[in-house]
This record gives sequence, C-alpha cells and structure tokens, in this order.
Amino acid sequence: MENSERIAIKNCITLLLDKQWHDIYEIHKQYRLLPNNIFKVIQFLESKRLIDVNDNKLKLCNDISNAQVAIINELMKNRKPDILLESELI
Amino acid sequence: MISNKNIDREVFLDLYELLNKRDWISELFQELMNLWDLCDTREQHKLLKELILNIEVLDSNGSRKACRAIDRQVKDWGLEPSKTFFVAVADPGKTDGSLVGLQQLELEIQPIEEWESRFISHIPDSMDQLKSGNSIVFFDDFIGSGNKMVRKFNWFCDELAKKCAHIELSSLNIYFVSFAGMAFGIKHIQDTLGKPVFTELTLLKGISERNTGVQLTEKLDEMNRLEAKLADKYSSRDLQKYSLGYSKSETLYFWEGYSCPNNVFPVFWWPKLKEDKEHRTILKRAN
Repeated sequence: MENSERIAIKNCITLLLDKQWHDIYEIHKQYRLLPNNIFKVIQFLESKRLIDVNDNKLKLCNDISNAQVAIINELMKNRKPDILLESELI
Repeated sequence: MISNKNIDREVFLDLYELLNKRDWISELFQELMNLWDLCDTREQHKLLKELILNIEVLDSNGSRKACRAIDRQVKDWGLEPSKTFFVAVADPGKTDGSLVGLQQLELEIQPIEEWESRFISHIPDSMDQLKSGNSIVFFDDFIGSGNKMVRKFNWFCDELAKKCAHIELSSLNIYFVSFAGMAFGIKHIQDTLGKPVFTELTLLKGISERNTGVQLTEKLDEMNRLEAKLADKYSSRDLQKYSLGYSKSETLYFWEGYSCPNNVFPVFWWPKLKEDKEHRTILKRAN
C-alpha cells in the first residue's frame, strides 16, 4: 500500500470513528482527498467489511470483530514514509 | 493525492459516480478531471457524465463474446469453410483493428482446423484463392458510417474485375461482419449494397438518437460549445470533419487497449486545445 493510500485510509477512519453516517463529500471537504482516492479507500474498507455504505453515505460497522479491530489498529499506526526509508542519510 | 482546493459537491459526486459505475475510468482520473475542467457550465458536466456512462467498452471478454456470436451467425448463414473466406478490410501495409480482430476470430470460428486457412489479411490477397460460388465475409472491428465497408467492397469489385475476370461477381456470396457498429452505418451498408450485415453490438448515436425536441437541441449546442475549445487542426486533421465524430456518428464506443474510432465525439480523444494547449484525453487514437 502506498503512503498516500495509507494516509487516505487513516483520515477516513478517523472521521468514521464516531460511528455516525458521513457523506462521502465530507471526506473530501475535510481532508481534500480526491474522489479517486476516496473511492479506493471505500473499496478497501468495504472489502474488509469495516464499513457500511448506503448511496453516498458511509459509517463504521456497528459490530466489528477483534480481527477487524486489529486491522483498524494496524491501519492507524504511524509509519515512516517509504521515501525516508530509501534515503541514504538514514 | 491532496487537491489544492475543494471541488464543488456536484462535480465531486459526478466524478465519484463515474468511478463507481465504470471500472475503466479509474486509471484515467487525471484525464477525467481534465475533461471536467474544460466545461463552463453544469449542463456540460451533466452531458459528459451521461455520455461517458453510455460508452460501450469492448474488453477481452466482450471481444471473445463477439467472436462467438459471429461464429454462430456464420453457421446460421450456412457458410462452409471449404467455400468461405474471411477478409479483413485493412489497407495493404497497414495494421488496424480489423487485422487484430481477424486474429481473434481465427481462434473462435469452429472447428479451428477447418477454418484456420480461410482468413485473409488484405483484399488483394484474396484474389489468388477465389473461385466462383465462394462466400466472402468482410470483417472490420467496428462499423461507423459504413462508408469504409462500401468503399472496400467497391475496391474488391474493381480488383476482381482486373485480376479474376473469369469470376462473376454475382456468383459470390458477400457478407459483412464486425464486433460493433453504428445502427445508421449498418443500415447504410444494407441499403447501398443489399448484403447481409452482422454485428454483436449495435449502437445508437450518443445524442441525436437518444434525445428529442428541446433536450436534443440543447445537448447538441452544449457539445458544439465544448468542441469550440478544441484546436481546429491536429496532425493535419481538420476538426470540422470530426465534429460530433466522423460523419456525425456520435459514437460512444471503444475497444479496450486499441485506438478509438474517429467516429467517437472528438472531445473524448482530440489531444489539442485552442492555442496549442495539451488536452489529456480519456480515450486515445493513433493516426
């Protein structure tokens, strides 16, 4: 997963942690993520059954298993961007 | 990627809907944004969204399905491999969709071992093998206005008269097949030549044959306003000739991975704007 995708996922999950329904446009307005990034994030989170999507609205699933919580924790971890890992200065 | 400004809600939802409903657009997001930036009005956005949603994409499954449909049609026509030739309409020395499509057809017209020697790449090459009573199936990957098929058939007739004077044209059974074609182009071939035509996909004009009255006029006006932003000339082509697509075809179709037909609305493939500015297009066309 690319850094930009990871950041987009983190932003999206942060917004959804209140377990309320959110309009997809809200994600763009708040974080200025482009529609294609948001689309990929939603596809990914849906594939992991972490979110419910209804028309243009989404929310975090009410019942999430321990395994799904582990996925969220993993996704929310801070990571050193790849570009820093590749730097000769480190 | 982070945008440097907020996109309007309506525009955002347009783009999101296109991504959600059309898989092929997901890798073309910058091109899509570019197209949206070209618009001045909400009506233009709505028109482009409607047109893109109506674009028929022939993917690898689609082309296989089309080949199989042609196979069934050939059987329905009662054509036998010993007396039939498939001939692509490509000009000698040129590679185009008809040659690529012909190669795919070779693998799907059954039984392969009986048909494999019956595929000919160029019209002149067919002359050495023709006999009275044979059937010729002219093939192109797409039929736009139908003029090309008519022109190629007339060329075939001239070649036949020059090189095979002993064969009467009336003794040959002529057919035309394609993966996809415009309904008006298919009708043009049938009316002009009076021969059977088969296409797996039959397409209507993107605006004129899907709208009536005021709506039709307004949409054509919006498209003309969008086309006015394109460069008048590109690579010695005159935009006027391709306005609303070649022969005003208003085509909404392309074969994935290949050059789109020039019958498609140029706003989707014309790569230059006025003042020689680049236009990153959602469809590509090789010269």
